[in-house]
Amino acid sequence: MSSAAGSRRVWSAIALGGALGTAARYGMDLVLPADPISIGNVVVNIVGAFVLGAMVARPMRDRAAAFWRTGVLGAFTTFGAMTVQTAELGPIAGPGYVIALVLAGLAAAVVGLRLGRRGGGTT
Amino acid sequence: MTTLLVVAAGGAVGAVIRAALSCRNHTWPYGTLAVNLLGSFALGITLRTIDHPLALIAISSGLLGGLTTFSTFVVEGVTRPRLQGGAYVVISVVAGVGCAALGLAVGSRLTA
Repeated sequence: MSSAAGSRRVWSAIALGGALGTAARYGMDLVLPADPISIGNVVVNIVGAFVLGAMVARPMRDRAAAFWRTGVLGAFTTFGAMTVQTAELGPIAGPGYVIALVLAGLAAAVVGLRLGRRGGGTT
Repeated sequence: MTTLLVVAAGGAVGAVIRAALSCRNHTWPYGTLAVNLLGSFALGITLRTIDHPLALIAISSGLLGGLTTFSTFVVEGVTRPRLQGGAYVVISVVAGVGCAALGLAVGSRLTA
């Protein structure tokens, strides 16, 4: 396989993963409450942070990493919805919401990384 | 079904733009920071200016949801040296909320 064809395969993996991750996030938005805050946004971000943490601790081929890490998990989680929600919540509730969500996301990523390393033995 | 396909297509485009802007060789994750700030601003404008329901969901949930990322952001934050990771997280969040507020304000002005 030429490197150009290999590169095309990586880009198509990112696009396909991005489509699937986005569709899954949209599905969560449809079934979970959106008021007063989007519960779907909170759930996808914490779950996605945990799973991505577990995945980066394990070795992966380029195309699999492009599909799962950059594509599926990158698109499953979202930063823009969090920052807009924070701005719309205002100066009292906004900071509480964003600090809690970011701390939960960081903790989920740390737990994911630890579990991934333990399972994969790749530290 | 149409909505799901349109949202997924938007997400595919967003993910490809994010990947194109991300350069793994940088010591600081400029790519993720750039897409998250740009996406926050653009989402703020989009929510205030676009009325068409399908276009709105395609751009907000699809394109901009796929462009911005929370998982990569937090994993980058915890896998860097503590001080650098902490600075990256704080800068991303504070600037991101600022960009979102600015986008909402600009969007409101445009439709006023």
